[in-house]
Amino acid sequence: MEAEPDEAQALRRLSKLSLVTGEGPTGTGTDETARVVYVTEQVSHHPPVSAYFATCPQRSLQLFGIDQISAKVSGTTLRVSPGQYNQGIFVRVTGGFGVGERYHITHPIASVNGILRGSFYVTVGESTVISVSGGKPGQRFRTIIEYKEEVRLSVSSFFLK
Amino acid sequence: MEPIPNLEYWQYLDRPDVFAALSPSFVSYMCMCLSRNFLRGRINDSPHPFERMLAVLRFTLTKDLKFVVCPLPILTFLLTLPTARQSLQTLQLRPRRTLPLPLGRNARTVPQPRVGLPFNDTQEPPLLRLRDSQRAERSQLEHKERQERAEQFFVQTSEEPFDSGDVGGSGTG
Repeated sequence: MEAEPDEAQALRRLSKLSLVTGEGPTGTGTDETARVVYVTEQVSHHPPVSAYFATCPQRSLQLFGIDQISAKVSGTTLRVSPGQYNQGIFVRVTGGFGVGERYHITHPIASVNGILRGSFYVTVGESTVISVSGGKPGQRFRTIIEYKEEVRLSVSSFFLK
Repeated sequence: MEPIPNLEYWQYLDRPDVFAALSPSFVSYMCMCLSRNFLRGRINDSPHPFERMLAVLRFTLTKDLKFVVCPLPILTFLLTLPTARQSLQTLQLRPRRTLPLPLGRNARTVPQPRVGLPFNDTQEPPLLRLRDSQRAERSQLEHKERQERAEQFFVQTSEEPFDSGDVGGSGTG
């Protein structure tokens, strides 16, 4: 086998995402490959805003959104929250069972801690809400992920609820 | 995945495989796998939106994995739990306390926690494994192969473990 340039190898690896699909009662799974394309670009200089778009046509999926963060100093922490243009991540289903559905994933609020001590760490707080709109009429679901922090005996532990 | 925008140090598609697995065909796969006689013949019907929401939730969790500094078993649990079969069992058949943890009896069918980069392993989506005896054996074999492959992958990328450019990601939580 000929030696391949690293880049080509990496590309080949990236573009072949192995997705296991089931087939029949015996479960003779076959490997299917899907290509996911991701584009992102700065769309505004002031305020700094970037937009992103990802799609997987083979699976009828799109992901897009506007990325903007606003950072505020509050006490000893740096609060990083989504900016006014950042409405969250949108996932659109363009075909298949969930055709027409649009999932809206909001961003949680992150804090950068340990600035005074010089050992930075990020905590994610508040909540993420995933709501769905469009699609077929019927039952709709909404997911709320709460990011919990508990301090016990000066040891913080973090939970998702 | 590339590219990373010039304004931020991250992007949201750390696991494009999990994103692609949100798809209807993945849902139909789950339906197919659900049970011997349950939903078997109804693959072409519209599956429950709950499962699609679970898939989106799974994807949502992957985008924040890079910020997580926590025991890997918890990560593995998060990634493997929201599969249709388990959730349906949780909802309908089991009391909440017997939620199948990736420990004990189920351990062999749930991918073991890997030391390394869970979100960078683009080769292996954490898809569900069934607990049927036949499939369990098969997935056990697969799992062995996976581990070997994962080790290979780990060697290549272990230089800077959690450094995906996140602010203070190398700190302790």
